[in-house]
Amino acid sequence: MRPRVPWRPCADVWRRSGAVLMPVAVFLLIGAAWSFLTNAFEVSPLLLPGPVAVLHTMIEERQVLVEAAVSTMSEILLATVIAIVAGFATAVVIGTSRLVRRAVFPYILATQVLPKVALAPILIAWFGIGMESRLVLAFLISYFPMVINTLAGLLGTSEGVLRYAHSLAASEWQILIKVRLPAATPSIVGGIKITAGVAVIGIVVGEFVASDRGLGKVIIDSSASLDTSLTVAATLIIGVLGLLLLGALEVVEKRIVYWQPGR
Amino acid sequence: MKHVVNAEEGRWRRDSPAHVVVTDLSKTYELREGAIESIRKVSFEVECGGFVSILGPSGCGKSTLLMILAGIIPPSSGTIVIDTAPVTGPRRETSLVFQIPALFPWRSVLSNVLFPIEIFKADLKHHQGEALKLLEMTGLVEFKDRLPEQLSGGMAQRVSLCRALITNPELLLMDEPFSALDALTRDEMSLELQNVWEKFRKTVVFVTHSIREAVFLSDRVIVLSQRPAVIVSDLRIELPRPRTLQIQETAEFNQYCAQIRASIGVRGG
Repeated sequence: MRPRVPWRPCADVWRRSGAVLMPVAVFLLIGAAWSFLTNAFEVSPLLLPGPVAVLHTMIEERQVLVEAAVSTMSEILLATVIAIVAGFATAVVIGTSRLVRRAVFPYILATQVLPKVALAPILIAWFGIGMESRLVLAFLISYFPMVINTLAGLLGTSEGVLRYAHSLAASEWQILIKVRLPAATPSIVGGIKITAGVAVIGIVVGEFVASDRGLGKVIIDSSASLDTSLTVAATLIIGVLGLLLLGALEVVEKRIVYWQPGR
Repeated sequence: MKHVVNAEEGRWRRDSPAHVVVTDLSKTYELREGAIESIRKVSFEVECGGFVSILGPSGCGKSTLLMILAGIIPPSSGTIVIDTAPVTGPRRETSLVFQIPALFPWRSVLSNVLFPIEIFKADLKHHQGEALKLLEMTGLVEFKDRLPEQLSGGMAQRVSLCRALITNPELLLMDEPFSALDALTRDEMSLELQNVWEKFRKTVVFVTHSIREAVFLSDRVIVLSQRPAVIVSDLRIELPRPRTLQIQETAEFNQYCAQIRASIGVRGG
């Protein structure tokens, strides 16, 4: 389906390994700079421990960290899936009916304008300190980008293609399934990426305020007991989890929107 | 918009080309700034298997006229009758080719050609062979798995022609299909369209603003005026077929062009 790039072994190996080697090199460089700076300026380990100390803590506290990471990651995935399904369904309904769009859209906008973190105390009062509060918080943050992106995709179908479909006397359902939705996939996948990204924020902030488990709780507890090394370790793991999630979505995106120009 | 949905295969497949009768057709757009009269009382007839061009200055409403023939835009008044049935909405026996190819970028060439068959819920397997034959005829068969973004403008427009023919329509409506192409490709496409028409003998209504293109392709050229469009001339082109590009150098050909130019009121050239 896609144009074949002429195969040049040398350039190819260089390009492929570059995709892996370059980030690794940058990673090592940052680690080295971090190590050098904390040593040279004798930074107190209470403020910022060196990378070796953090690595040491990671190994020592692996059981706590792995358990917390599994909990955080599964809640992130759950929140993402809920937001994707609900956001997609909302967008399809309000994208199909102008009347519903007019009636409902201001409220969907309101979920975006409201500072969700400010809702945390109410959410805890309603749902308790636990997964439910965190999921609701993450959902409130990540629902909107999914709705907006999907809607933009559905309504942005090119006029020419729509007119052609109408000329075939296609039904509205056929137009939705065979024209609008496929045309919207780049926006939908873009929406999924943003949704997953902000779900990470939602869950971690949720773990700060409704702390019964997860990496957010590790961060709060360790910083309360001045165990900065563990705080940094947990923060780094959150970063890695986020990267893995977005990386996986990037792979999926390349498969689904193979046809988009400039790809 | 109302659609006439008729999923049963066979109902939309007819082998005889359409006979089109347009009577007192008018179109006025009601806009907030006031009404714009686009077409005023246009009447004409297209015989079965005829190739008729509708020619006129830009913005004169010739595309609007075509969209009304296609049933996509309703007229303000007047009627269109194809064979014996009045046009009230899009018909599956009519195929449209637009100025832009309007292909689906996520579908391969072959899958784009088969799109109407999917919409009509007809037998895909059977039509796949038909589609390949059409692609073969337009020299596109080795590009069947390509995506539209990998095609040139001329190739994309050929795909869109194949897509229009796959349903074996009785009426083919073409809205300035070659106007976005370069001059050389245009000539090539005109020749190809003539060959396709010779082979299938569909009734064709072809909208263009190119006088030479209209004379080269048509049995008849209907010339529209500036808005509101009325018919200023209706000229039969008696050039022998099949026509070659060289026919454009003949005195007869140029006489037709001059005659049409005079009727629009364009001097020189």
